[in-house]
Amino acid sequence: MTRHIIRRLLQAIPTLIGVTLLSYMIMSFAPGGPLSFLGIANPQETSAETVAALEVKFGLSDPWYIQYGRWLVGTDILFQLPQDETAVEEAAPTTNASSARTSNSIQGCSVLATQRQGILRGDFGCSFKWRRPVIDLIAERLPATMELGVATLFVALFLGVPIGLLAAISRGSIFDNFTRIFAVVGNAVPAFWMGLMLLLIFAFTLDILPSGGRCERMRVRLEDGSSGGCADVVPIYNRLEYLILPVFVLSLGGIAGYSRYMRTSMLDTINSDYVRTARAKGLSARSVWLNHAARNALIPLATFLGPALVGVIGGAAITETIFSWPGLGRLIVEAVTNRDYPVIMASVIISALLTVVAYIISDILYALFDPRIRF
Amino acid sequence: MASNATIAKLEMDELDQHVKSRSHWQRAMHQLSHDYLTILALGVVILLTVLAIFAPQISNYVTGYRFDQENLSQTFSPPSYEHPLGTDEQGRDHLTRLIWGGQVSLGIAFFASILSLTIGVSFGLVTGYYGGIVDDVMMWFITTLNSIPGLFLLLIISSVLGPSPVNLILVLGFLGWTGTMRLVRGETFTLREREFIVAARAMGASDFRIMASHILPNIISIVIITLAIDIGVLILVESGLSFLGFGIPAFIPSWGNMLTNAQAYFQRAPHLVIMPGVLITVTVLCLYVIGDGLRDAFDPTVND
Repeated sequence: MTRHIIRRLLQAIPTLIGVTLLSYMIMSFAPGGPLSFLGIANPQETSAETVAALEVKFGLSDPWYIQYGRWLVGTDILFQLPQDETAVEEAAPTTNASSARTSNSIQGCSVLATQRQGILRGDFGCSFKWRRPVIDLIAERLPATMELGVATLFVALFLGVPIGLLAAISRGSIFDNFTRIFAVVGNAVPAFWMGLMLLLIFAFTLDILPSGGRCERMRVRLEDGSSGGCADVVPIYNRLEYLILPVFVLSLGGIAGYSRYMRTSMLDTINSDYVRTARAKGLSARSVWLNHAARNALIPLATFLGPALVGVIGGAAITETIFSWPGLGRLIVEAVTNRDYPVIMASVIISALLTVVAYIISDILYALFDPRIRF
Repeated sequence: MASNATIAKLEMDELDQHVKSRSHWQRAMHQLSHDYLTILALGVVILLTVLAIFAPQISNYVTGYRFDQENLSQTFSPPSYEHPLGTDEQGRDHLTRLIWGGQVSLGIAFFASILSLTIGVSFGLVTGYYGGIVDDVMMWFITTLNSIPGLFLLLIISSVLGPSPVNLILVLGFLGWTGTMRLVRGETFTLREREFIVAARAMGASDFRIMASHILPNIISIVIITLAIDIGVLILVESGLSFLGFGIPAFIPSWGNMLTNAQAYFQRAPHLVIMPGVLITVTVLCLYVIGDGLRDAFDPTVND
């Protein structure tokens, strides 16, 4: 078992390297080249000498794999930069307005900083738009997305699994057919439209649920007198009304998926020999289904958890935007809109990291639950 | 309890079928012709496709408006005789825009899924057939691609390329093939060891010939099923992207970007929010039903 876990962890390494490479490629896609990526200058408006000086300064004239290495591990370990502090100051007057704003950094976070810690040490650089370390922005947004994700997974499992079990037990019944139709329709409705319709009905027409946000209507006063950040203060059971609509929209696909999956899995189990034996021994149908069959039918569900979390994180981009949920998904939509590349790259890497971890956990759970699995 | 006569009749039927010996395709078509739900869904999709293809003619001769024809004195008007589905925030005819939107949404999903299927099937065949290092590298690439939430990649790349229908087709096509590839790879994996492939190889058939004329025909039914479901999925993805403003540029109507400003319509014209979503849902639902029906018809081993 330990060997399996170690092997799974090792297998994750090439995947994560691939993700960082892919994310690094995004930078080279940035219109205007790497300099505009750095938020320094529009190369067309800057003199050739300045561009050349800046390229040396930031090491942009080095081969891409050295630049990639710097981005990964920082500028102080393997790939040191030429120590020339004058180039940027000389370039500053000729650069455009965005760079002037850039150099006035807040909280010691500057896009122009040449010394980097590298992303492996959590230095994802500085957000162009917010002028703050990217890692702080993400740390701020992640809890909201996790809250949404966990709630969604919870609802999807606790509704989807029983529905699937019941549908399998009463195969061919009205309930079975109804859930089948529900599952197909649930997968066909665009999530964003479902969200809009729910908002139209419950927030605008009936006005019984908030139209978005995480707890904005609550007007929380913090100890230092400022408002906001209410989600950290107000416990989740007081904010449930804010969760209802987004969680419903996000979990719809999960409910549909789990119930179908559970139904198939349960039908497989019901038709297996040991269930027939238990019935033949004279145990009641109910006891056999719940104590023998359902328990085993649940096992394959563990493999579903990883992909489910990915679905929630990815799907949250749209749902969070509709419901103004201050999470990672909305952050990346805003970052893409603003072409805030450091934020984009960091969000991609961190969401991929979460995904990989979720897959590993669901693999391990599967092995734990099912003693037949030997590695 | 079946009587002996019924059993005898069943056996006769079986014999009868044996004599006629329908081909795989004939059997599938026979099964399909009795699947009324699939036929109904097919009918709806064909109707929508015809409307989409003839959108220019319809907007010229039937509705009488262009999709970008503004009328600022008649914004947010409710459904009426002149505008059967009302007008939007710039006084444009909602029905006309829905029909044009269908052209964009269906067209993009169709061409993008053709592209992604082509890539997925080719890569799936090659990696499944050769296995080894080719397979390892490909699987690494796919695992990497799949560990990033798909919507994030779509958002980023379509924003870098800029919104346009052609770019969207390319982005959706080049990012959406991994599922098909896994499926085809798995099938090829099992087919590769079968006797008829070994026989073909023994007769000196080239790798390309084996893949193209021996393996491909055996997976073509899976490909067709995937195509139907893929188009449905891509309609959903395209509408989501366009809704966020990263897919189709705002001046071209698509079912997704017609909802971009929906939250602003809540007060004045809720009807504008309903129709695009209903059309997306109905289209995707029909495509899923068609996919299911095709699976039942082509794959007799699968029974729910």
